[in-house]
Amino acid sequence: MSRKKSELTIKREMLQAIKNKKINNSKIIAKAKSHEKITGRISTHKLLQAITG
Amino acid sequence: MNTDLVSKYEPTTFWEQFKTPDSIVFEEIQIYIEELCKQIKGDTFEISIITEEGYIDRNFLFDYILYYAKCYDDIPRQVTRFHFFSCSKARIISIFEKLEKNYSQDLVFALNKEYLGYIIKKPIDSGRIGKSILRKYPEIDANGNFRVLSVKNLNRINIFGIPLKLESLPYQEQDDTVSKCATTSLWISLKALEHKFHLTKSYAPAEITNEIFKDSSMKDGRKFPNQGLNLFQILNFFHQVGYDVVTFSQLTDSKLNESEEDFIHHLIKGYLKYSIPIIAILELKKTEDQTVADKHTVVITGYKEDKKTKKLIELYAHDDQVGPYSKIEINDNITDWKDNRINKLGYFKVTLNDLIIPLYPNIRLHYWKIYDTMQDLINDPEFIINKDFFYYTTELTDSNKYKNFLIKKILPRVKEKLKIEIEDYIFSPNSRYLWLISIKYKKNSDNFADYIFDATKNDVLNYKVLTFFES
Repeated sequence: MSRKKSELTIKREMLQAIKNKKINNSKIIAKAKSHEKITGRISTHKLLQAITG
Repeated sequence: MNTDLVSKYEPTTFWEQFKTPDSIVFEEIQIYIEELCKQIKGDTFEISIITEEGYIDRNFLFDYILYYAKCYDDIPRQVTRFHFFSCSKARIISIFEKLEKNYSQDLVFALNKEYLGYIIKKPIDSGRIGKSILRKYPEIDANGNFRVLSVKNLNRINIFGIPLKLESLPYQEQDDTVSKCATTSLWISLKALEHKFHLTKSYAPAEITNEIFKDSSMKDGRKFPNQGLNLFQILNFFHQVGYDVVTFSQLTDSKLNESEEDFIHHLIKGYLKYSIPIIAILELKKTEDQTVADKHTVVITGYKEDKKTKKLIELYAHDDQVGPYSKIEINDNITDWKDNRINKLGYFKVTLNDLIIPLYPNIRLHYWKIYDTMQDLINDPEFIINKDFFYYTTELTDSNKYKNFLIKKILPRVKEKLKIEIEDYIFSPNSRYLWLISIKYKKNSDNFADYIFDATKNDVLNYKVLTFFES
């Protein structure tokens, strides 16, 4: 198989994958907990620390 | 022209006037200007300066009204502005003389091409570098890596009646009196936000501190001389002037895992591409034994990515104690900043702790939903089989910017069938703000497909996919 053809195959497969894919909002929302560490609310103690730099 | 106003740049004598006991900013700006000129002009560069005495800068004027005017010492309210050019004194004089004889846009353009920007000298004892606008580094570095320095303002600068333009982000050093690092970071951020969203008036540093202390619940510490702000005051200020804020916090409370590291890399790039300034809260330590770290804020204004791996390798920050576009090397851990210049101030460890992202209130879709959707695509069984041939990026944008990209970069290279689909999208009504997940072909970075999400609501229910490949 020539290099050009294999590139074409890869792109065709990807195009088909995109056509088949449905994004599931509920599945995304279910992942919220895994980000709590960095997206969670800042503690009051930390909010009140002076930034004096 | 008055040729006495033009001088050859003599670094040793020129920077002497900015020296103060605790500041390294003038040294770093000197390095920045010389390195910038070298990158633009090569090793044999020449720099000239036009000096503008008696200049009234709105920022210093309001600092003056709110603080310096009431000091006993006679402090002038006028400042000196120094304009830098990447050419000889003779060339500057020649362009001005030609302009006086026969004014033309070509000559203005020629002058603008040599213009490196200006710095202001304030007539005070500490933090003498006032509002400064310096040209950005070129987009491609010497090794072919790509820089994104998109956080900017379009500055219109007038030099003795000649109107010049410079797209860059204003900078100034903290004066340790009306503003410390937090106020200065707010000032720098607002300079970028006012260009992007036009929500606020132009604030001087002292006006920002003053505004924060108007709210009775926010009166923590002294207003003037300012002792710094806390995070609550910073967040509240953005709300007070009409913005909403997203925070990513406690990044260093425990070590980030690989996926969290990746998340932070993508989010920084995603917001910066849309020129959104990101305030970084840093913890600085002078010794390993220091139990309570010093806190400092800077504004992240850009990044550099490796041309092959597309990995983030450098951040750029406006640091009011170091300088504009200060380079931060990124290695394995994004929270562990390799910033040699902060080390010059006596710190051995600089850690990124929180990120504060001010946003136009209607941008509501939370970034983690975009990131997780991207991960969902990457790990889909049908996508994963070709994962070595594609890479994924996320980007906040707006409808006009995105449609302009489609018209300029995509439409000219696609054939009739795809063209109709893309035109359908371009000429349909859309949400003003969008989040994009772009899939790109690794070999040539060509856009393969874009997932387009409405950023004005907080879900990924309705989206549009545009593909740019014809089989």
